[in-house]
Amino acid sequence: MNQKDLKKYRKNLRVQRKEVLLNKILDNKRTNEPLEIIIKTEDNKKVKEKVAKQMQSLGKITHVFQKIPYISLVCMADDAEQIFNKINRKQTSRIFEKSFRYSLNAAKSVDLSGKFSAIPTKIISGTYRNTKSDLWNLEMIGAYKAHSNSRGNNAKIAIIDTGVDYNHDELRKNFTYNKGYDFVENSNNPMDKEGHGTHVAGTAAGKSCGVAPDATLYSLRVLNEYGSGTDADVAAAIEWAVTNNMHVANMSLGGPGASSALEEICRIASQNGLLLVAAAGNTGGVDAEYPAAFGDYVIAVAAVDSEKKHAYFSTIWETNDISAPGVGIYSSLLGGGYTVLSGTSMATPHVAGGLGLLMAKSNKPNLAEEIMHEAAEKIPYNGEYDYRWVFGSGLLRTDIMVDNFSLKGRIQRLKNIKSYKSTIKNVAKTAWRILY
Amino acid sequence: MSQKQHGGYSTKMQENKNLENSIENTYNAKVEKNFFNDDQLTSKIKEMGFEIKREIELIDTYCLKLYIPEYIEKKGDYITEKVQELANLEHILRVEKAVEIKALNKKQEQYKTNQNQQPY
Repeated sequence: MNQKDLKKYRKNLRVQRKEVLLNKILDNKRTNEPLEIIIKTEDNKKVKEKVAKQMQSLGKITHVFQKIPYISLVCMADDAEQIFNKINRKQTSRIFEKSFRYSLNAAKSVDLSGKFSAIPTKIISGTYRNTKSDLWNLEMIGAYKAHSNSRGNNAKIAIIDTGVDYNHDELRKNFTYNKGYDFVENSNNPMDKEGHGTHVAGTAAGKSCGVAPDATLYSLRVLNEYGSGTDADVAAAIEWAVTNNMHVANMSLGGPGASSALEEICRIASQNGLLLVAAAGNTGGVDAEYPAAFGDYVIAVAAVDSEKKHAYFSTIWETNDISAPGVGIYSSLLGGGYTVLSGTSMATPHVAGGLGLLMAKSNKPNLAEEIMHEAAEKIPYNGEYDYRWVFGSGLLRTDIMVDNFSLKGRIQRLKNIKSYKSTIKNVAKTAWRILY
Repeated sequence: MSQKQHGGYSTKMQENKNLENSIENTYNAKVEKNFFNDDQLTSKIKEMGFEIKREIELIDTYCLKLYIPEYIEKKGDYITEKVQELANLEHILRVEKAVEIKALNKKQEQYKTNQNQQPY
């Protein structure tokens, strides 16, 4: 490329970057969401630090780079627009304070972070979290709000799957010395050899991807490295979960054949207070996938996408109980790192984690399930099938579940106290009659 | 390099073989409650050519695999006969074929991010 062409190329690139930023500003103004921008300052350390300090009044500084004259900032779209206009010498509707004008005069350019930048982004936590990020699924089900009341501490969740990479950074803290059991190879080492279980576990209880990040996980490996297993091994895993007092068992697995053995163990487990959560299936049609289709004993989970629409692959059946995000779910990858998977398998651990948040507060599985249904968000639907067959009660909402669980728990305790008082009163009356 | 990472055809063959191995000639037998772990009964079952792969005590069920001797030519008939014999054993309540269970992820869009990069 000669110098003239290179100049033209760079100019086009600058125009493109501005367009990208302006489009993003427009989008985020509509949705009232923050965005991250990168501001280039004068190449002077003191100037850069002064600009960063002043920009703090507009948003959250996420990075002040040491070797290059840039700072990155998360702010609301309106503020980003004003900064952009000022830096690009356009008319601004906002009068910046004098001290602020220094920063804006010292700024050379502004770009949208993450698009053209080679600089790694940092995690943004708290108020300025980008809701259109990788973890939109947690935002959608109200998990972040729920975390202010419960993070699943004390909840025991069994992952009945291909195993779990319990050494993964995302999951390490969820495991104790008792990792679970490997029913495929009959050993005490239920390490994942396929990847499916590790992803599922991350959504259920991963430290940054998980619905119940403080829950304790147990890996029960029943599917081999090809993701296949037998109903007997699944039944044995459920038996293990009952014997070891699990609160919730996640089963992101299924088959078209109904097994009496599996149905019976599901019934007994449910009667023993174990909450069984299973994937509805990925047939894309009206079908029964087991164990999800065992009805009352198992909570069957259907999948929706980021627009809250029915995922095209999610099986439709009369026993569907609830829906959760299952398209493009970001979670832990076997061996390290993260990956994106889709399926009702991915929807299921949202529900397992959600129930874990409740069971952490109080061991009342029937109440937890009842509240899960009551709290579900109704999803708009104009399709040909019965709503409940597609979505169950609706979209999982862990924030409302946790709020209602606490309130209901209190009301129930109050009722119990009242009935206790009434019982004492009746006993006293009877005793009085007998004696006098 | 694992089996899975070989060429597509041979991987599929291996996968099918593994699927077959896991449920082929495998049956779940429900036993009367008081006779679960009864030595006499388990001996009879083994003599018939079944191996006990799994015991599920909560539901009094054995997962059994039938091994077919090499000299048997009509394997289908042999299997039918043996399974019927098992079902007719005293204290056996029910025999059913094992069912295959699979992981339910739809499609894989797999990429490995920076090892230490947590989600944004």
